[in-house]
Amino acid sequence: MRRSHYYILGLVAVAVILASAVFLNPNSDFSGSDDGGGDVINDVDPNYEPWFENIWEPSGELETLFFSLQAAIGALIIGYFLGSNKVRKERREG
Amino acid sequence: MCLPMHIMEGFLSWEWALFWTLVSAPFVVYGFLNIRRILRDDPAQRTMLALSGAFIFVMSSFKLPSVTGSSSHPTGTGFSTMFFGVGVTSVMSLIVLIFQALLLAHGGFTTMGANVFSMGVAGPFVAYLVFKVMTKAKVRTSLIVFITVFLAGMVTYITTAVQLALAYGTFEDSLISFLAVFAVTQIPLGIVEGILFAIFVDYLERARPDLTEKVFPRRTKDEA
Repeated sequence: MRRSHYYILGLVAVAVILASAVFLNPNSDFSGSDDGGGDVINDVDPNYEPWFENIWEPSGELETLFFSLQAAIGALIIGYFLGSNKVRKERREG
Repeated sequence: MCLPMHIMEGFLSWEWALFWTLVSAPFVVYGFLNIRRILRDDPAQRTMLALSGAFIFVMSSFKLPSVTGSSSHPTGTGFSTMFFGVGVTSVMSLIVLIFQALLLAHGGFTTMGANVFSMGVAGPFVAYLVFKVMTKAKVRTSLIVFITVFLAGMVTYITTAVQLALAYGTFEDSLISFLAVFAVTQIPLGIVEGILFAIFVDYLERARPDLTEKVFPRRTKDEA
């Protein structure tokens, strides 16, 4: 197999793993692990009261915005690197 | 029911908050000095430093669905761990955790020390030890990357479970309930993360061996 075939195989495996999570749980809303932590603590120690609140909490839409901002910052840097690699390679090959 | 990667604001008593801050602090200071030295003396490494941070930003922004029906974040810390070690990774994690605590209300400032410890110290530390053993044993690169990245994420979540179990209820009972759900949640996501990084590092080794040869020395053709 060529190297690119291994890459494709890897990406297919990634897609299958993530998709199977959705197929196996058709009714789940996939609530985030960060939000559910409080439930676990409530089970273990129902009397616990948090002693400090987040200084600011974004609404759902804003949360999505900031999550995509976070991803965009990272993706921009990785994309810049990949692009500069391509230019470098083209220069070398003349 | 699911488990947090970051412990939420106010969910650790101040004693534990202080304890984890003190444990993490030396790693962060060491990493900070390390980063300063790299930026000053080693321009060739700057690219890799930027990539390490970028991957932690991207990966930890993803909420991926898992077989348990809840979703969870990969940590993205394995790449930084392999190329720069624990100190630098703890600084990168601190930056992302501040971003998330400030803008997303994920994690928090009172639990910052504990979260830096799980994501930036414990996970990378264990992954780095195993990584070193595997490089010594000349395991093939893609397998090294897969296992290191998988461990960096898994150990982070195990550490979070231990931290919560220490803080709440009786240790054994709590640990079991904290671990039960999350282990199954995180394993497939760790595999996903491992595959993605194995592909990227393989690409990197071919396209820019100058960036990887310090960690993965160039080898004579030993595979087809």
